[in-house]
Amino acid sequence: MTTALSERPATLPDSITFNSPIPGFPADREFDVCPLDAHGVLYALRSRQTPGLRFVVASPGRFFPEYRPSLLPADVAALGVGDGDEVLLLVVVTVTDSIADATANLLAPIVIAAEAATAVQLVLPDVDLPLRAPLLAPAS
Amino acid sequence: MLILTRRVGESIVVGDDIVLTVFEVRGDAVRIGIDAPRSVRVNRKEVYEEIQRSNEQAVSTSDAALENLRSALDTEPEQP
Repeated sequence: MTTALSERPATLPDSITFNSPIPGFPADREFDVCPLDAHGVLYALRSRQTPGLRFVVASPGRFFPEYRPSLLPADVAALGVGDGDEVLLLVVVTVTDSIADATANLLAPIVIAAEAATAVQLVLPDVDLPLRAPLLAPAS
Repeated sequence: MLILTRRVGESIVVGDDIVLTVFEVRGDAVRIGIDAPRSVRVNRKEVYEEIQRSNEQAVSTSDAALENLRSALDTEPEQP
């Protein structure tokens, strides 16, 4: 089975359901997907279960053009994705005080089946992938 | 906690469809095989906990910090 990984999340569903719990947030399974910019880069995932709970996620291509993790067929199947369905990948972004400290979690991206509108936060088998990759290159 | 003693090659069945098998014991390291349905996510505990912590940090990103990031992205050149 081959699965096409989209370059741009042009067809992100308006809301997604996590098939398995997000680590740390077992009660939050359904999220609205809200674009935060006109470029298709940043999105907010807003929990339907917990008001005010939101993840900031990003399309990785803009920040990490080399980031092309291969997804195992078993992992994609866990999404309820059939052959040929579109699978999209987003990374969870954390911003603390300064945007210079903004990081993205490349080890455990959120993988979304576009048509089924289902998602999982997948822990990739490559343990060398950073959990906190700097999002923006330091100003030169 | 249930504690069982197993030898190399022996297994433990959890529920109806999860099987843990001891493959090799060398010093203080044990190699364990895990057979589980696709829907069951299996992770090393320390990795899972790290992701849990990272997620908890991620949701505490303030609206102000997010706004700063958005404006920084608007001024950054778009990659082709």
